[in-house]
Amino acid sequence: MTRPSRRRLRFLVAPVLGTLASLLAAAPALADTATLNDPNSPNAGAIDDIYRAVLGVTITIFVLVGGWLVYSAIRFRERPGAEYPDPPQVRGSTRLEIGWTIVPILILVGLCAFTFYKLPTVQDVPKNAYQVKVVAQQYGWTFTYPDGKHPVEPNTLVVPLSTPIHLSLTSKDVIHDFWVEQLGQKTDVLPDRVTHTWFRADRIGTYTGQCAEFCGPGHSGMTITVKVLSKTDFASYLEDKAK
Amino acid sequence: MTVTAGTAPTTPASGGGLRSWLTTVDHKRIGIMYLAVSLFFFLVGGLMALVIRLQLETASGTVVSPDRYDQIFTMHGTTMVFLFVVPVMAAFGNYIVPLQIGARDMAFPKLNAASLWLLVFGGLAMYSSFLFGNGPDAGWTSYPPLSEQSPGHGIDFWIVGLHILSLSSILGAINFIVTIHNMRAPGMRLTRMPLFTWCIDFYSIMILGALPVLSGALTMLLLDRNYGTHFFAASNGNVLLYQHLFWFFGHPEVYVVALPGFGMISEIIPVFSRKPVFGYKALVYSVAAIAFLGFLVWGHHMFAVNFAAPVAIWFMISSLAIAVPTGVKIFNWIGTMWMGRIRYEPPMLFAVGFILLFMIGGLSGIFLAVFPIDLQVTDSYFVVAHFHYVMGSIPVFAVMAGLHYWYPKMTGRMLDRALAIKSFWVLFVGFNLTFFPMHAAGLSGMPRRISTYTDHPGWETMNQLSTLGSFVLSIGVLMIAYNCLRSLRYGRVAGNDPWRANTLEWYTTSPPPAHNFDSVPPIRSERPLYDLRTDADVLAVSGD
Repeated sequence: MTRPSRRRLRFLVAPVLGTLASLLAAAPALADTATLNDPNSPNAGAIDDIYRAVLGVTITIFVLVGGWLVYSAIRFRERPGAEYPDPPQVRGSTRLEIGWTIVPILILVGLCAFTFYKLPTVQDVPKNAYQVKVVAQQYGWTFTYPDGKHPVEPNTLVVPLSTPIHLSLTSKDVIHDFWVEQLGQKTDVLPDRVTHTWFRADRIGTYTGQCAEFCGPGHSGMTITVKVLSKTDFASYLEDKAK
Repeated sequence: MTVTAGTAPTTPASGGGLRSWLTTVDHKRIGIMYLAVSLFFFLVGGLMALVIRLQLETASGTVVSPDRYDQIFTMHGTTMVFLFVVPVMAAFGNYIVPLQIGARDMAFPKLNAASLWLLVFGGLAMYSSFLFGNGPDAGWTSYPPLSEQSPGHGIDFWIVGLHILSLSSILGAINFIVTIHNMRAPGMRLTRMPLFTWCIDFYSIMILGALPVLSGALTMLLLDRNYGTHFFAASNGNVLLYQHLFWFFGHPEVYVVALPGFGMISEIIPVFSRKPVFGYKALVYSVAAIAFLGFLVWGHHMFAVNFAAPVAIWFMISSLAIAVPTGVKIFNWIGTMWMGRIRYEPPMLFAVGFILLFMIGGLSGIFLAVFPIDLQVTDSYFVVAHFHYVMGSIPVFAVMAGLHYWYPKMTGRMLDRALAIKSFWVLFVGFNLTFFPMHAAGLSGMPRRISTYTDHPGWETMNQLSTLGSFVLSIGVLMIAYNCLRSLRYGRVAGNDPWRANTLEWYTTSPPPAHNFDSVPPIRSERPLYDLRTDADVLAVSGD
């Protein structure tokens, strides 16, 4: 094997192997997790739609620009042995530079437009939503239904199926953050004001989350469980168990 | 604007001896000490990161207690940001900027020494809290009310230490600005200034805009904690005021770190592609645009506080806008490589690796700017992955590119090329293995700053990959450290200009004499040494 081709090989093989090795090592963990957890609420679903759009756009950009970079890096490498003069001393191209300023702007405008289209589903609390008050403190949650009753299990919110739930959140001490990923966006829970979020669980089941704003040494254990019951089960739960 | 503007310091004899180092006002020695101090703190911060990674290797890790874990991640972040990535830029700025502009020293050499020693003592002040009980434990962001309720004096030490470090950075920034704007060699107009120097100029301007705001916020926090004020108290203060002030500093801080890294890449790529940089003016304008926009986007760190929609939309648009000048930089770098004749010396390899990793960090930033997505992924491991691909790829790849590029100038010796290339690949694999799986961990719901995740054994695989990667990364760092130390003695002698580079620092000897230059060549473009070489070719041809 001649020296130039061995060099060429090394430059091709090293990056490809390096990237493949890191991707392969990560693949099992990445298989299910390139996207958000399966949404179970219209707001979580809308965010998931925006996420997938951005994921598609960014992966395309990465493949195109990264590919252009890697292609240039390999194609224009100096080949040993040959004597050749300095390459053409190109100092720039206004037309190209204006182009690669404007195209990203157009892409971003498109992303913004899609986000604005989805935004009401994420943010707007539906009218006639079921009102639940949430009080956070180190390191747990208290949920209160409109009639003043609370769910029985600690740090657990029990809600009816397919019913918009409006959460009004405040904190007794430091800043916490309410996050049940499958039920929608994070919301900071602040001690000097009330913040708001909502969800509408469309499948029966148990959904977990936890405090997402560092709140002290017990932060890791400040979990949230949301149990979704059918409307009739919820009515009897509220009647018999909630206290 | 002459080279010897009457500011030449009384440099001690360039002989060795500890005393001559401790009392030096020579920008090159100060730069080297800055480098040594910041790399020392990099190792300290790195060791803390390894403890974090060991703790998270299993769902119910018991390596450290939750209290200690909080102190460790607080000091990991604080150390990496304030004692490593910012001062390491000052290290290169100090060493390289006066040489690149053909000056004899910084404008205020004694002030320069003061900046260095404030850095050292600021770091010591902050770490001494561990001697007096507890370390700071409210995260590197130290949000009140948590940081106001934290017992002991850890956070007070943290505040005082940061005050000293801010002072160090502010004095350094003033020094850079005065030096760059007053001490350039004859003929070096602003439009002929090297891009690294441009970036240090904007780095300094951003420090002057951002750090005083941090100092104000920290002073209020200190008063709240110790003297009964309630700027940030829940009862009759405003807990969010701190976050606004902190991030008004905190986001520009990202670009304070990024711009000099961009500057290094903008120096290295043209030299090893044997071409002028593609679109010099566009690169300068994009740095200016980033420096300006960087002050308008702080709210994207706070989307979860329930902003009114117009506020969130404003911060979304301003944050996305930064992607445009950043894209211009990346396109222009690739444009510089296009049709070039690229020689893969270690600095170039690190530079190309940096662009690739920074692109991942930049693109994951789009997810965080689009605030509905941010509301899912902020404060999760996704954001940890994102800022390590940004704030981590800069020091580990851009700065290492700069280190491999300027090491011969600083020491007069070449680094071992084969070892440097091996260490690049180890770092590249280790970095991706550590930080890429964190995206997945965040997407599957893992919040940051937790010490255990007993209810989610499913997160273990991703965390174990990260832990494995962090050790690979450490091996890469040790390889570079070994190479740097060994080459001091055994490296090949570099000569003035081992890379056939373009800028003035390569005109003088390696290492340069105390007064830097015996003479400075005429400057007719941003590549005075390229001009000299082509002049020599023309002379040789016409002499035939």
